[in-house]
Amino acid sequence: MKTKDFIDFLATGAGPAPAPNTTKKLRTALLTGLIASLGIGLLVNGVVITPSAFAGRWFKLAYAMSVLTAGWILVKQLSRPISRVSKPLWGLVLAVLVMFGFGATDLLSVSVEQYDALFFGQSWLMCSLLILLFSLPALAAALWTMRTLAPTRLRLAGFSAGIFAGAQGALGYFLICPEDSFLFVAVWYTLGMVLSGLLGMLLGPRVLQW
Amino acid sequence: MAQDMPREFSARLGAVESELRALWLQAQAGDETAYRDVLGRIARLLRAYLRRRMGGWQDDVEDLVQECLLALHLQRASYDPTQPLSAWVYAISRHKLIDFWRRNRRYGALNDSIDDVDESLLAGDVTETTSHVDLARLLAVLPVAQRQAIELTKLEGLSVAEAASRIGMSEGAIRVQVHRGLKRLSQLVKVVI
Repeated sequence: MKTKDFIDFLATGAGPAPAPNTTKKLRTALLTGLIASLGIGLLVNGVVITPSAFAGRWFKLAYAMSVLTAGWILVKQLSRPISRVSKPLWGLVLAVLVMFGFGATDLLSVSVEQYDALFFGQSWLMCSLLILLFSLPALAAALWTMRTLAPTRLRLAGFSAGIFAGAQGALGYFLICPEDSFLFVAVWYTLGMVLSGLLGMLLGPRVLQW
Repeated sequence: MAQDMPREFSARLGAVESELRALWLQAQAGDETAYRDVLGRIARLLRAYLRRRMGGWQDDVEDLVQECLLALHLQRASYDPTQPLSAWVYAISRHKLIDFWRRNRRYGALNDSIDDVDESLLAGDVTETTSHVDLARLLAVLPVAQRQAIELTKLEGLSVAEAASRIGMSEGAIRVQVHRGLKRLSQLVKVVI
């Protein structure tokens, strides 16, 4: 077929360009992921975190929300052909650094013998893995949605979808997580979200091709 | 992203950026004549760009030009008018080129040295060849509703309203079927190439 004829074919009846729908679609993905993650959290435990326990654990919520915000911006940017990602990437790094900063203050406030308790808590083994597990529906929703948009940096787009989903997983896990130490959250929450990010990075080039 | 653009792409498209962008914005607003015009100009730039990148695959250049044009059309909504048109076109074309190499298992080819390329290929007015895309055959593969919607609005040139009353669908449904059909075509085109 001649390209001139192909262009005729494309242009005929083309009408005005449709309005951008990236935000709307991604909002649906976010809602799906959050409902799934919080739903699993409630199913696993049933008992929602008590208000008194919440008072000492709000920082986990703040951390997950910061990562979620950076992830949201990254995913939104990377769903389009041209993306500006340096600011949200730095935001992400900043959130992690601040969390580790708080973790370091934990170390200063206790004696060396208590380091183990701070670091491993009662649930370190499960924490990262459960965050990853809780984030899987969100990851599927994010990748599925991005696939219908126009990402061109597939590895980074997949990684961002993973971080975005990981933060949603952390929000769900927050409901059932009994830990109170900054250091625990800095290490194991971050690891859980990074695992989700790596999974997304692995899947990105395979599933985001259009 | 913009600074990653290969020189010939940014220089060529950059020099005519404002002109192309003005046409493109008219096209985005629904001006079909402007759309035809600007797609034709972009096709020439794409041809020159792809010729030099697809060393031993010259026979497939026109196929990929058309695949890129179809992708640009399908992703029209993703163009942000505050960004340079050239950067957007390049990002999508590069994505399609990488996909082409992936399909043809030639990963290294993106890095082909510029010195290996026949300079005569860089001339702006490379002759247009015919692609292997056989539209009639591809359309035949589509579900009936998609095929009908595309045939009526894009081949017979009916307006969306006329097509809607002809096959008893709403105008919105016609638009959806056309878009889905074109999306499906963009997958089918890959099989052809």
